[in-house]
Amino acid sequence: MTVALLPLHGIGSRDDLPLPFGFVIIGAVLTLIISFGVLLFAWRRPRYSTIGGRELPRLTALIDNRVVRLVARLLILAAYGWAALALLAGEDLLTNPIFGYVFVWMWVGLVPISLLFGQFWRATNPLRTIHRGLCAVARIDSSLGLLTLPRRIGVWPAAVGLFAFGWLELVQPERTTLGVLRVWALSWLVIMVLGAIVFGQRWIAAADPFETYASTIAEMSIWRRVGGSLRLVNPLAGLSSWLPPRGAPAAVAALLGITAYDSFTNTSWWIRTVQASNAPPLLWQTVGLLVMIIIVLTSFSAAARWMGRYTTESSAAYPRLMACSVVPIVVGYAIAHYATLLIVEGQRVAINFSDPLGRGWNVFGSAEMGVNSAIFNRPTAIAVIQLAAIVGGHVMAVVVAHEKAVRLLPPERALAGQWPMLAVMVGYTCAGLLLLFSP
Amino acid sequence: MPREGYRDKDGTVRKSRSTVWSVMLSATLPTYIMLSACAASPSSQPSTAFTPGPSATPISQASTPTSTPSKTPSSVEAVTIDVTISGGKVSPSGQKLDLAVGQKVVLNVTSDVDEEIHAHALGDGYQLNVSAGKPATGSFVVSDPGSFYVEAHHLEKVIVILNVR
Repeated sequence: MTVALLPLHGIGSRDDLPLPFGFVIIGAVLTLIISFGVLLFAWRRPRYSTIGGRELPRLTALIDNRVVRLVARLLILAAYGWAALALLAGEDLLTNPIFGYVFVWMWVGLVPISLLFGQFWRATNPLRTIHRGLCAVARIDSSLGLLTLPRRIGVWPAAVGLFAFGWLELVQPERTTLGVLRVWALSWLVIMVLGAIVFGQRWIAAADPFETYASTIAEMSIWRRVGGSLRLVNPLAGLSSWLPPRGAPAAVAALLGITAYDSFTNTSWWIRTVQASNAPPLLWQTVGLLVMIIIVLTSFSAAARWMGRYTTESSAAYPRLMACSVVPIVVGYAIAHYATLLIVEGQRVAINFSDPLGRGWNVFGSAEMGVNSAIFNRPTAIAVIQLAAIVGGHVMAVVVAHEKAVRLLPPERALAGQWPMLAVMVGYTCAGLLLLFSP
Repeated sequence: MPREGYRDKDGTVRKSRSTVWSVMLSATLPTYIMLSACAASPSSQPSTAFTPGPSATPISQASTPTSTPSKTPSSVEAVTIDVTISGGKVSPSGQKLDLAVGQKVVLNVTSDVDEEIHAHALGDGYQLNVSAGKPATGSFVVSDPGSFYVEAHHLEKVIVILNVR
């Protein structure tokens, strides 16, 4: 029953209520006060120059244990294999768990997984497991390929991949049909594994949109590997110490742009304009998604480059250096927009996962359970969560941006150099609040 | 630690750390107060209800049976939505309506093509079939809070969005 034009993440027919306008005002006021507070009163010297934190040798030994790694990878691979079963042999109905698996468990689920468990996704990525398996059979070193991937490529392919997934999630007509999803899944698998064979396993880190998304979010977690061993760190310190790869600004802009576009298509203006126009909706949607991403990328890059005016380093280096500071805003947006989707539709996937082929199986014992959608009966609680996520994300972002600014700029210029970045972040946050208000 | 600035080891004057946190705390305190006030009296959004008020004549039910409301209908009046589908366009187009839980929604649909009007409210959703040239009427009661779409299925266009509180 889902309609291609419906901006409802492809699945799920019940959406969050708009954020009450009072909440928007509160959020905006808080945002401004905190931003100015940090700008004017916060530390003038870097506070997190040493990562610090607490070393965890026993946990490191456990995680690095070969058997533990192998078991974890095989379990995750098995889960994907089960989902592939549903994709290839299941029924073309919305009760097929594959749609929720991709659009909810993978795309939304990777945020809490990465926040809570660090670089779990990278460690258990099924693409890497498959590639490693093939290399083991062929007796070749998985880190080597036919060609060497130039360092300069960074995560640019992944940024393109993120745009592609955003397009699949929000624009692709008939995206909740098996035929369409099969083509996309096969393309993803082939491009990643073939690329890994050609360029070595580094291709997956450069090109897999999910791994790039997950490892970016994981930089914000409390777990961090420093010098080979795991440590429990302050997320602000960890995030400030991260050197993003090339192309990270594009990847982060894609993430923020996708969520912003998703929200924007819920406004009356958008629906009215697209439906009244004679241009095909596909064109509107593709252009809309691209424009959102470009707006984020250009505003962020301009604000970062401004910092280059006060140092001898080239301005072009700054978007990459500052990319870490936008990550908390990305997380805040994701939580605000997708939390209820994960809570409700995530349950539905778990229920349908017991019966991938629609034959009446109950493999995991969940097939008879009902979805508990009680969260939707608490619109005020949802609104508070959304407000806390957006404003909390902003606070973290502004603190990290300030920390980076005092590290990268001479002390007397730190204030002058960082105010555009602060203004851009205030803009993102207030835009996020307004989009949640959904006029 | 002294209240205002202090000189650290190499002589730089620094604001005390407590200043930063006291600024942030003093910012959050009024917002807690505002937040609890907002939560207590939910949504003072301007109502965009579409032709509210009781209809002059009782609505004749269409052949599609009305869904039985799971809650007793509230004392708020039913909302009537006049839908026109012509030339591939729908009217209203993407309008947002604020409704209360238990409120009845009446649809009067006129269409120049055969269509199905789907409302994603209520569990399995509500469906009203319309034939070309023959106006159809149906109604349902919104029983759960949330934001729901009412759309023309074949045209794939959104008619209204119901925000039910």
